[in-house]
Amino acid sequence: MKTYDVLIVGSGATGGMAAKVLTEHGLEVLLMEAGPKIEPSDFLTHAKPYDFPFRGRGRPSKIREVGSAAAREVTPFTGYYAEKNLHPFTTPPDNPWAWGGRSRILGGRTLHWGRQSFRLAEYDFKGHSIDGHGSDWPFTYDQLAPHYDKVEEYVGIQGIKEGLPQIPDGKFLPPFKLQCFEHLMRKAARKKGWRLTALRTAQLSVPHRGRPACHYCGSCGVGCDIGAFFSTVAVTLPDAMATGKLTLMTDAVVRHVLVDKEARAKGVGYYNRVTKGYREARAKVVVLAGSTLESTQVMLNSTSRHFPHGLANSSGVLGHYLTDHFTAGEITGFLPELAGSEIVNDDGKSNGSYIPRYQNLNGHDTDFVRGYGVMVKGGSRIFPRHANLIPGFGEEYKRRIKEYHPAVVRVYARGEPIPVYDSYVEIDKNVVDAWGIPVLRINYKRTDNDRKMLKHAFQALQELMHTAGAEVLQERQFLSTPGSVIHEMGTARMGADPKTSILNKYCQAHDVPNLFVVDGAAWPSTGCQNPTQTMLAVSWRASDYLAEQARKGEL
Amino acid sequence: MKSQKIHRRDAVKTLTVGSATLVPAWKLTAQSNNTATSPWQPKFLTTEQNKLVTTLAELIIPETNTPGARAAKVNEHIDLVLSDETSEVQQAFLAGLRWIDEQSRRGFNSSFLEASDNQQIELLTLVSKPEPVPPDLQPGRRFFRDIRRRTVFSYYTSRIGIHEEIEYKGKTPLAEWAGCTHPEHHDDDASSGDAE
Repeated sequence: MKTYDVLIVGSGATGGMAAKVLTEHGLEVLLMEAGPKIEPSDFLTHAKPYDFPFRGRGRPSKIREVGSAAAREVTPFTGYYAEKNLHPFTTPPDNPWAWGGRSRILGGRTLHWGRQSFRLAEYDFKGHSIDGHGSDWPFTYDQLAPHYDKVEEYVGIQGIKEGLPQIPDGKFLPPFKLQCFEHLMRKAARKKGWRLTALRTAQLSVPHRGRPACHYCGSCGVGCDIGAFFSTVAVTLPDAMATGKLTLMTDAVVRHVLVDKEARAKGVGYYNRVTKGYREARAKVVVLAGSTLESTQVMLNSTSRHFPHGLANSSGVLGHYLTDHFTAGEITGFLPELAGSEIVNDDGKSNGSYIPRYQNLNGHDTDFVRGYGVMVKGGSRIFPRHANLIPGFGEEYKRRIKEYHPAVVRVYARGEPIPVYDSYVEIDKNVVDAWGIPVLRINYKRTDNDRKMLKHAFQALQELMHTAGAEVLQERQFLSTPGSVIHEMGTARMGADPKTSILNKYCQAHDVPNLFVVDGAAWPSTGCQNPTQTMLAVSWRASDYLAEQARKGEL
Repeated sequence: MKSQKIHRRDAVKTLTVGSATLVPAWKLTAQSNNTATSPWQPKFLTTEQNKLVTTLAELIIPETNTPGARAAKVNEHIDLVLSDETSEVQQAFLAGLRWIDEQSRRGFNSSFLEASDNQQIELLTLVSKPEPVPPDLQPGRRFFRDIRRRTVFSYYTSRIGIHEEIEYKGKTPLAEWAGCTHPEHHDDDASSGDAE
């Protein structure tokens, strides 16, 4: 059996990045993905709903069987979204977890991610020092900054430089022009003393490193056939392949990490997705990048004489401090100034705007800690979602749907959860997945801080809409189901102290020096910004360190 | 290790061998539904129920200067979706149709289909009112929300809904991103993305 230099589990954002960086450092890498292969040319990028019998949604019986995301006709690929019947998990009855957007396919969630790309703020790395909650990151913003630069230069991120410390500026591509509702909402936000900026996205406004610019078809959610937005299959995987150092193995469902007599990782045990046959793969170093909960499940299922409570878990915190950003309130309305205006292709840019966090920046000015940002979306998209929010029927109803279509605006807050020990995952010994692997039981605990933030945020959303002169169609004062924002993080956190953390500052396990976890599991705290750009930077930084240690013969 | 699964594009090629132009398999499936030579038959609804659904859908999204729900064949799509729903969902829908008809017979002494345009509108107005409504109207209100949701989805995902009514411009490669083309709405702050 061949022993690779490094074996990576998972081909999403962080696994793809690790594969690129490690192979370019000259290491022989095996990249293992639980799902099947896919290439950008497979995507049904320009399909319209009426091209499918069920208008892209999927037939009801299939929705019941595999879940609404996995049933979609417009993405008919195994694992594009994980089928719920094959990939179960459990929760306490009164404590739901959504596990939205879960994927089992080459490229993982990079195939359909929102592409929103922000740096964390300097203060996001030291939350505990500021307010006493959670734990600090074991490195500072300045220590990560060189890798933020590299990610922006490599990935291609368009955005407006704003000079705001909450979302530090970077090396951006020229920004997309603002849509009408964004101009109006930017003016309204300024009246409130807030700054609205177009969402920074990993979407090319100009050709970049051999990839073409976006052609504004607005189909990002079903995959980009030209690779104009960042994904593993369009960007990192081709680069890793080009080194000649990468072996790609798809359909490999990893069950556990194998450990030798010295308590070092020596490879993984996995099942063939199709035949379900069990096999093993060997490497000098194992990198877990299967996404936060999948990597944690692999570690919890990797019990041995050395690690009876899960791999690298001498601290006992493996699986704990689970977080997911939460949506705190949502208001949908329309801007009378735009009502009845010409329909334009607002789907084209495919993303809206953002008001970065403005609470608790200089000291403590609210009754909660940390904070939230506000997402502002709108314009004429392919489906008039507001139709279900307007009363009535008939000619007048149809006329209003059309009239509001270019004028719709939707605002919602995205908050930072405090990581707490009581939010945790464990192995449910009574339930296994389609390959016989014991699955996770997810115990998520909301905090009072979330609820206080909701109250504050909801009022802010109302004020923003009022200031913009928006007519409100629907107000929802709610906290989203945990897991539904698809930013789960924290269950194998980094830290300076091996007694209270799993990983060191390079995502290397304290207990197992040749084991790395480079995905969201490593995060001690999350900020309230979208995480993927930081995940890419953290994975790149860890991979540089891994390669350096390997070169020195210290792994 | 090579994946043993048949690649999707290989499957597409196989399926399209012999066709004059290379049309992806997923489009062929959709087209074959549209170009069937035999007249359309409901899969789930009876002929009478189908007429009622067609009428209700057209009342919800009528023909104006653009075609309405009838022209968009909303009834056919609603029937297709219902045919694959659980019997619980199916029975609730049929109970809703019966409720509408019974209410019409009680109020106007005729079936809903035979009632006058004004009577049909009067009855729908009753059940389309925002909350609260009297308890005896609740079943009708629930049904109205259900059929309106189905009608809206079917209509605005149809060719007519997307192209003629909503005048959708996307799902096709475009040369440029113009952003907001109304100068009067522009934020004059130089950093709003219009200036380099």
